Amino acid sequence: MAEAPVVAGVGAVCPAGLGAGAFWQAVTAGRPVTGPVGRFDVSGYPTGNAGELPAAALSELDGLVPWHASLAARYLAAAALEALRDAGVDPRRPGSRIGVFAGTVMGVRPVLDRGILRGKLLAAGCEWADPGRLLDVLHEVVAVDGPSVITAPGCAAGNSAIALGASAIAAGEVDLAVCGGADELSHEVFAMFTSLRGLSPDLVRPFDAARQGTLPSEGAGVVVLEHPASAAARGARPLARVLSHSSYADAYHMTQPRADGAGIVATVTACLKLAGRSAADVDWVCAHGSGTQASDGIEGAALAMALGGGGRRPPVSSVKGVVGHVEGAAAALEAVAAVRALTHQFIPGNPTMRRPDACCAGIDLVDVPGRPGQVGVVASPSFGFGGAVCTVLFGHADA
Amino acid sequence: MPSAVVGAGVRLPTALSLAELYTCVSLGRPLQGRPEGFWAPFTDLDTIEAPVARCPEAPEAGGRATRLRRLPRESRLAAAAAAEALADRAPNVVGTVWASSTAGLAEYGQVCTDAATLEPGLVSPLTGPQSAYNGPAAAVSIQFGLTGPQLTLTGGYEAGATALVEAARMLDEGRCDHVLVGGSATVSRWRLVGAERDTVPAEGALCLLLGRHGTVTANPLRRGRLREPALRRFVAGCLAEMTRPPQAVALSTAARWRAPVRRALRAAGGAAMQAAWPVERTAGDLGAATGLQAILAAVAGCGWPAAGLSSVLVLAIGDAGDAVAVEVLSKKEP
Repeated sequence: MAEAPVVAGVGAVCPAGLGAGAFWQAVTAGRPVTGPVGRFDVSGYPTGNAGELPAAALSELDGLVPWHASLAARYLAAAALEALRDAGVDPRRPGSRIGVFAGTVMGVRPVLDRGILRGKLLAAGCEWADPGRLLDVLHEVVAVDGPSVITAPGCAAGNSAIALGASAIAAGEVDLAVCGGADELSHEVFAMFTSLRGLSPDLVRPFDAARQGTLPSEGAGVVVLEHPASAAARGARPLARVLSHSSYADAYHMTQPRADGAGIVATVTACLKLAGRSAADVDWVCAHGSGTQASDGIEGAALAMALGGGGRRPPVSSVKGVVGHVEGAAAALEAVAAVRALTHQFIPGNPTMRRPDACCAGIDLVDVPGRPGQVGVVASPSFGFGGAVCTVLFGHADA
Repeated sequence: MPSAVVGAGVRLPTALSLAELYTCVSLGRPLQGRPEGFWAPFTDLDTIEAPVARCPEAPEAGGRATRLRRLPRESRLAAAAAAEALADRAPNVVGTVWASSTAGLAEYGQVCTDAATLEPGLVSPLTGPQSAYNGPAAAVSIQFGLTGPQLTLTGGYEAGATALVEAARMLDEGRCDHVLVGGSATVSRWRLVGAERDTVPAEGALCLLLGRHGTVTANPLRRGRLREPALRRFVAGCLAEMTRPPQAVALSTAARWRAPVRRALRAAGGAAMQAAWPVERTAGDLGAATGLQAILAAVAGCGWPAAGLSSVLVLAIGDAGDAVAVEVLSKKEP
């Protein structure tokens, strides 16, 4: 990448509430914000926990963005507004060519399952059939004149959106790229993970030896990327830089990651090479760490292979123990965490981990309350069903 | 550097080859669907009879019939088109960029219905993972061992053309040696709710294998979100940027943009306006894949000797005004 795009602003919506501040506060305090599902009836299910926005946050959302049948569309717009304002950009008059790159897993489809009630599906709208409706609210509140792209490669969606936005800036197609992801808690996803026996009965416990599964969650994460020259021209102070990104496909199985973690190793290694960095430069890995039996051990071993060696164990933690698995927004929220780690010089811990999995002996699983210190480079890998893997490497603004 | 077309695969109701696709779109006859009944159990959606266009059953894709039978129909069609595009080639690092607005929608509806009517936990563990948009891209990547970047795009008609733009950028950035850029669609009661009334919802799959060397190239021109007053400027800008004046325009435009686009093309003038192909009406409405369908029609025009074209402009515009323009060229001069 010729000139690394800068991160000009961040925004977040998650079960901790509205705003990147609420998200970061929950992450650094190690306070899980998942809990009993209230939006739909889970009384007959073997587990009943997930992540959902509290009622107060949903009410607050009404004052921020217009109503829409899709909560994901509203989350995305709210996070985008926050990120643009954080960047010092007027969403209505950005003054530069601006594009949108949004990641999702289910997009507007949960509009369909929200009608599940007493054995009858009351389908009152048709938004679910048009995936472009995910951007309805954002387009109402942000004057977008560049491309609007929705990417849906599974749970790597948020990073994939950041990668597309970074490439669009590098190619000179846009000056500003609103990049992120959004998904809302879906009964369908809850039923699916139940059928796969993939849900935790209490909390998501990434990298724990006794982890029992993940918890679906909801929200949105947005980073506003900008060409360095554009940021300099308007006197903006960047928060961080996107040093590089790399994507890969496992080409292996619809729901199982490759046992050798080849995708993670390949993308992390490629990111380092593209950015001209070494493994020792990586101060924190904001891991995918979904808490499932299948993937955490593979990820831990792969990160050790890509970043360890010579007695070095890369510091690793996952924010999913706090906010759950926000699917298409997961990597985007992790990007917000990466940027905050760089600006606050602080590495969050793994608050729900009790006993580290032996598979993770090659990585340094950060304990609570986290670790203050010099944070110059953060790697954020992501992957999911379908085998798409995407890693983004973030660097300090002065890097 | 232009992206060259190295291979193509077509599985459409109207065409099983590029030549048939070109014939279909250049004749300009509106597609006639066959009425089918659709229902959505346990919902308040009425049972309807609607004309739709189906594909012939996908043939075995590279001898993978046994494994393919377990895939949803859209993924099977995608794999069949991909097998044709890849042929016997074994390129090094191949990326996959796929556009679909319908992949997984029927499965999503099925899981919703099962969750509402069965005991919790009785939802099939095979159906849920197929209920997202990325099923076809994942199936193609897995079936053919494509380990390059894997991307799924969704949205309106423009998404299929966006897939080509992103695929071309992957090649430009050196992220892979080849990219399989494709799109697909299926028809279900859930999709028909949002279908445009003057097009025939179709199922099918189509793809291009892009590389660095070939006689037909597809080059992104510009993309952006338009309001109607800016459309003429957008079209004029595309025509000015083209390597050669177009001999035809392949259109994939949502209903409300059709008349404004024709007005903008008329205002721009030129011979191309004599040959404007509205592919969503002649070859079928493939949702997000329709933009790519227009690109394949252009590739057919420039690559099939009998068509004899050397420059075609492709315009894809979704309902919300997101527009993508691509030029397709053959090396021969007009």
